Amino acid sequence: MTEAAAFRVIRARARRKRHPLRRWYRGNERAILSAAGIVSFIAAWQVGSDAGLISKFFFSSPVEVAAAGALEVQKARFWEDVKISASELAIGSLAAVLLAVPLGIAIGWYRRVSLTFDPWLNFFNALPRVALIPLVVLWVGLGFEMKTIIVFFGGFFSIILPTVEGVRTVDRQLLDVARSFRAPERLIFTSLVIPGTLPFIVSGIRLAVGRVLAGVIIAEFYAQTAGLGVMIARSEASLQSDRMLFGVLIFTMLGIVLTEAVGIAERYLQRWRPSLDLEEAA
Amino acid sequence: MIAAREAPAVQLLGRLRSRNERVFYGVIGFVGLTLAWEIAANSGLFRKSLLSTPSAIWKAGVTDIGAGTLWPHVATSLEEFAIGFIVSLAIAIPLGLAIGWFRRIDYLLNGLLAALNATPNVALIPLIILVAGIGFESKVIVVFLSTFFAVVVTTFTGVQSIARRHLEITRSFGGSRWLAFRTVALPSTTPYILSGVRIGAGRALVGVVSAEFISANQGLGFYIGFFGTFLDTARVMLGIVLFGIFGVVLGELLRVIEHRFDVWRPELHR
Amino acid sequence: MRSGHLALSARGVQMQYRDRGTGKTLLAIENVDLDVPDGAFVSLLGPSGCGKSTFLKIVNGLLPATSGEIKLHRVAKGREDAMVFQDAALFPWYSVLDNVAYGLVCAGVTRGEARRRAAPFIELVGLKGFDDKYPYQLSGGMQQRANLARALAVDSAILLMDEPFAALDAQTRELMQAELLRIWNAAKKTVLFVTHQIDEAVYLSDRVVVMAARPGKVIADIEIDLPRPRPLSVKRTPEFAVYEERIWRLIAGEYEQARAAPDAAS
Repeated sequence: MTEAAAFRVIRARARRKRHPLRRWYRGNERAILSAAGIVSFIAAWQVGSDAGLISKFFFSSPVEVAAAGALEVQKARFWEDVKISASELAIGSLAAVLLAVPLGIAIGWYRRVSLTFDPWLNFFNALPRVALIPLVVLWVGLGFEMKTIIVFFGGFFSIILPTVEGVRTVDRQLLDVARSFRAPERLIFTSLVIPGTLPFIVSGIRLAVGRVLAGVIIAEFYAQTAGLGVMIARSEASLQSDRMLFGVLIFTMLGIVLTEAVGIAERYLQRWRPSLDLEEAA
Repeated sequence: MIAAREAPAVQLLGRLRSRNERVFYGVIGFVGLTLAWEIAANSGLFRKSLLSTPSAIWKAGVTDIGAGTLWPHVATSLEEFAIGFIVSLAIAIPLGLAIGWFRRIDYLLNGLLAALNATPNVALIPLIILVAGIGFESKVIVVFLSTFFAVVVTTFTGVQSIARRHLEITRSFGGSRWLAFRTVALPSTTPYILSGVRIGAGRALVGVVSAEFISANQGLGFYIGFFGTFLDTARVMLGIVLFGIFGVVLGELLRVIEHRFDVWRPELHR
Repeated sequence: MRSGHLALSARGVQMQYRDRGTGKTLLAIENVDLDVPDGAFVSLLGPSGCGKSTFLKIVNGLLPATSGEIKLHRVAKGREDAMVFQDAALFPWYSVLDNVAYGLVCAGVTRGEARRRAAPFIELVGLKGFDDKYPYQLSGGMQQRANLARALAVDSAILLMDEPFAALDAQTRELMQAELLRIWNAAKKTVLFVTHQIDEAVYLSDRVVVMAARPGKVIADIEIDLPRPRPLSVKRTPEFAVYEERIWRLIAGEYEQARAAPDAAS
């Protein structure tokens, strides 16, 4: 029998010397390709619409959207709309957080209370909250209040549900530790319940970001009074797709920035939690 | 013995409570608040035009179902939802899996898809109506898009988070990439896919309501908006309740499916 | 038991890494030669960072070495080697039976056939009746039994074991060591066993190959001349203690040297 037949031979593979440029690419491949993806999407859109493959009437083109945007930011009316949408978002979201968190913690702490509220919380969480718009219009009309309330609803239920869940699932073992040291109720709350619930609250806020944005847009579509949503709707009515897409783009940016901000907050709050990557490395 | 002297009804209540605490208190909360609402509205604690009353909503429901004026709206919304949602899942799940599995495609597309996912899909409704008109098609497209990005993004995130150790096992035993995909990537991504489906379902529902608000002449969203302009609070509430029920049923359905796929996971489910 | 030929023969195996941060080249394994006769139980013993697990992965084909050559004695069919991984190496979504059958599925056996062939190995490792359980329903020791059964089921000539008992508690670990010897005796395999525990290596092995870290290299190759079968009580004999002491001195000596000249390795 020859040696080749008798053995499976595992040979070494020498490390090749790579060109520095190639090494740089390998090190940053993710960022480079990700940027390339976005750039080529925009380029394809532009080229496609210039070549007539994509209808300019419907989808405009990146250059036109940018031009419409440049024109728009010079109008006082635009900034007025921005101010209104921003205030609705800010007030509604802030109220949602300030009410949902303490209420959620209180409900979650008393098990029976939380079970009593369960069907209602689940109902409102499953309900598309924008369906409440016509009802809220009946309460307060088509103005600023209605839109702020819709934003509030969008945030409130997304946050309170995970908060209740977070309090309910506080580590029993740690609770025993605290009780065995005769920790006063107040200390149990600040040292255990709040930190244990925080990740749940933040994940609720992350869900809320999308919902409050959707809420403000649809409420403004519905009311047709003022705000960036109205600007989008009016642009559609007057067939200015470039201006409309500029409005959409603002919300995209807002969505990205807010989601990133929550992500940063999440990482900060969870810094004591070992990440999965670390476990993998060990 | 105190227990022996308790009325049979109290004993029964006690036994019911201990058997299933969650259901017991849930029913109490539901019945209690519904009654409180009815009584408060009838005693003039708040104007009936604000929230209507459970009995008025019930009556409106019975009337409209009897007259056959409710069902067409419900059917339209259901159809829009079902078609858009199912088509979306059928495309988004395989696409998300493929994107996640091929590293370079993932790098290339994830920035773009994350941006599209961060866009509130409802902002696109005017554009979609411009392109597809105010009828059935535009709502299906809205549902499709609302579901699509949520599912694609969660799916490829799931594929990315496969434990490297698990892939190593397949390689160690000489299994092919395709085998690794079927036996490792697919099962370990399933929870992610399902949570994407859940998020997508929520957004799709919002999409249906919104698109029907903005321009439609049929559908449950239209029904709510229409009776809103006539200040008919009972029918507005009826529409809201129906949407809520649909949302709850859908959520429960997904929960059943999740349980079916999650038998191997020790964590409790929410 | 031994047919005289070598099951594994490694010559001049070297492994270099390029550190992503500094761009420097690090030597993880330096010039390792190793012969494992057929049927033998050989341990690679060393501190963490000595490259013993890396060496195992090179043999298994999970990592390519940067130079050198490894020969595995060819078997009639299937793979020459099968790996028993450290902890958490079962698929949580498969039952015990499907996990144990997985190696066969990887080799192209149909699922039904793989399950049929896997069943006796579940019995061999003492997991009878647990076929349908999911990994989370098993204790750490039972999970490692399943892990072992998966590797045994593919019927390879060599078992590569990567600190399989490191995550277990002390009592379970001892029990599993004795179990492993029983199974090794029944299955007639060649074993290359990686560990950082001196008593584990001495108790299990025919030979203990001691490695040092930074860079990983072989510093001693010690025959363990204790009679088999070895009950756990062997660990309390003076002969055993002598081996332990000798290996401990070797490793401690290396450690002192490294401390005296901390930059010598880089």
